[in-house]
Amino acid sequence: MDFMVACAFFMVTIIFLTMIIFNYLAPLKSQSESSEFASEIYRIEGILTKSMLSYYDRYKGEIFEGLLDESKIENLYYSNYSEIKNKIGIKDDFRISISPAITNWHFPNFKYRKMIVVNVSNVNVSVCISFPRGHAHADSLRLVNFSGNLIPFELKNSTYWDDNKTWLKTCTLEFSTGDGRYLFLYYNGSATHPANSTLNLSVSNASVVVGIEERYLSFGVYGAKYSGKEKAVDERLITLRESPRIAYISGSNIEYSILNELGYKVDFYTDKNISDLVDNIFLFDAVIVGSEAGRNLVINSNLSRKEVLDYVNLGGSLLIFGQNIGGYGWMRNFGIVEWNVSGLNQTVHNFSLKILRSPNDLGLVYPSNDSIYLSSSYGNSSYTFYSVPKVINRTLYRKIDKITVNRTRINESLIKNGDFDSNADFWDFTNTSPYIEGDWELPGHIYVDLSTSNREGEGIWVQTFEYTNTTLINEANLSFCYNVSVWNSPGSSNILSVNLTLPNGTDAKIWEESIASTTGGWICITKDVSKEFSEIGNYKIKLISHLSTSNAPSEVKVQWDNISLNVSYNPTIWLEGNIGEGKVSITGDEPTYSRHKKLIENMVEWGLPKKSIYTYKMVVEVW
Amino acid sequence: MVDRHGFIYVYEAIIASVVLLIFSAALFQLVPFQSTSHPINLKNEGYDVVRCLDYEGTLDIAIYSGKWDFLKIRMEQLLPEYVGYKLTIYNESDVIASLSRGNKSGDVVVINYLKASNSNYSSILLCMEVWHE
Repeated sequence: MDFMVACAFFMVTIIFLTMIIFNYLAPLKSQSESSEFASEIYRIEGILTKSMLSYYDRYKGEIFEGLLDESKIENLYYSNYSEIKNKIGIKDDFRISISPAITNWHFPNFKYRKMIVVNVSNVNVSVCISFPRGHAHADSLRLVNFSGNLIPFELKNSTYWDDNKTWLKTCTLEFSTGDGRYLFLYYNGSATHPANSTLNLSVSNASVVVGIEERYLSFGVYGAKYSGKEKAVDERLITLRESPRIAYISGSNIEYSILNELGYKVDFYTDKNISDLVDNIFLFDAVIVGSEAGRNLVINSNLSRKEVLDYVNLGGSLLIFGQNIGGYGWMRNFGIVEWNVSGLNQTVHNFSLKILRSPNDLGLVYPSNDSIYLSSSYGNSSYTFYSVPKVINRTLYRKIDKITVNRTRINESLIKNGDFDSNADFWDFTNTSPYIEGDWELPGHIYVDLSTSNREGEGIWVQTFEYTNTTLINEANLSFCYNVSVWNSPGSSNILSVNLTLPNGTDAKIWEESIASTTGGWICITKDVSKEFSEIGNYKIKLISHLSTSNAPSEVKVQWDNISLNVSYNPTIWLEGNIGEGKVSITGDEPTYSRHKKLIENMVEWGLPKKSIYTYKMVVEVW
Repeated sequence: MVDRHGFIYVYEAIIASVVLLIFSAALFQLVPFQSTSHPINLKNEGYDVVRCLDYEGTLDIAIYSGKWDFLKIRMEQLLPEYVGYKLTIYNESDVIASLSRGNKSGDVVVINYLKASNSNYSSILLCMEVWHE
């Protein structure tokens, strides 16, 4: 029997050892923590992909889930881990890695490729391929079949991003497919030995499809160093939008700061290194000339170089912030001349320049004390510019509602009868309980009163107003005063708040305060609500008194007065137009002077091309 | 014959050993766990692939050109090998393509993805069924 017991003991030991070795007992521990880890992982993934790293589409005014902004990823990788961990709000350690979701990358030294699919094999085909700016050096192309074997090809009809014919924009490839139907075209930003040759193929009319551009660039690992503890891992596919490459030529630190605040990654140039920029200008998606920078003699001289004109003619974007163009001689290369106006009122009509188009009323008198830039015919070309004032509605980037070159701030009051001098006209009162009263009273204010014990509800004063201004506002200050004149309700919950109901129906909470006693007099509050005015339509201001009373005798009374909502704006003008394949945009209103973030954003967004989107794999580990 | 005291000691030793082993196993197992084959993960995997195909532009190219093998190659580059799928693509009235890999087994998750019309094509509905192979 002792032997049997010993055998049983031995068997149990073996079984348990086996279970340990093969991790059968792991759930005993890991499952208790798995739900916690899983929620942490999903939280990190959610924050990264839905807000922290996500790409914000300024035209559509929305964030796309799972589409990340490359510049935000780069910023994350330079950020302090502890700060990011606090920002995300997790207690466990984590790390992420972001790497391209690619397979069978045949040439690790090449950064880009496109897949080419032909509908049949063993045919000679011709296919037109386009390349983003600065991606394909003309001597870098390599064509391979699915197995990575080089395929000879002939390059025809090439167009370039630069006058030196270095950077390919489009080309036609002629080649013989061989046995396969799937091929890859690799290319890179640096020159290698040219691989194209003369084949003189007789091409068939086979159907060819060119795929999206894939990129071989990993972001590595970010986060804590793995400590060997138990961990959870999850893997997600994401897409990321390549950062546009923007150069800013010094003019104003404020403009440069605004560009950074808006999330643009910008290379900064001064008169010390402007020649480097002009030498490599073809690599930039947009070049911004800061306010007054164009008057600097060194900058002016460099911007006069042929490369700048070629850059625009071949598809670049030149965005000019400035005024008083006396020193901007280089702009004449583009056929742009100043139109100086003086005096407070100018009639914009009957001139030969093609700048203004419907629906601008050329017969109107426009108040002005500023200069703007206009285009004129240049040689045999006719450049057409048109004017677009800054507008608030996202969809109105191209819509012209108003034109003015007035730099005088315009102020407008949106609330009617906010001082309640003799009545509460234009205001409506609603309540959620019949015990809550609201009315106007002397010496001139409105009130909300709850004087019945053990009751609760809201008394709301509302005014609806219409906002129709299509010019972006600089400031919108909402002011109001309140006075808790009676408070005898210990232990009850009393909250005052002010909301704005936007035209789309959503409520924006502007202010909220809990009250637990009388205020001993009027308290006045001012809030900047400019960010709420991003659309035109009917708004509502709501003065909300959430009142409750305790056992008798109990009463709460709140008074409201001096409600105002004043908006101010500096109308501006910016001109945009096409020269050759490129774009030029000019504003005569200095963003520096008026600190118009929206003006800068509008101009830059208009000038930027659509950037490539790549699919990546994001691995998140938590322990 | 067996000594009674001996039995008691052996049982005690066995029980103690079992307790010790369970404790050790629970304490020292350090194997990381991967996200499981939960339907939520499967749904994420399928949805991520369709969304990436859309955002990166492959879906546009495939719909516009009608070259569905092109879409299949790209999809199978992105989907893990252990995930089987069946993708049915509808226009406003008919099935215009059906792609698949593997045979349905276990939990099958269905993802519907509507691609709005543009100047090149009318609205497209993608119905994707995914499962772990």
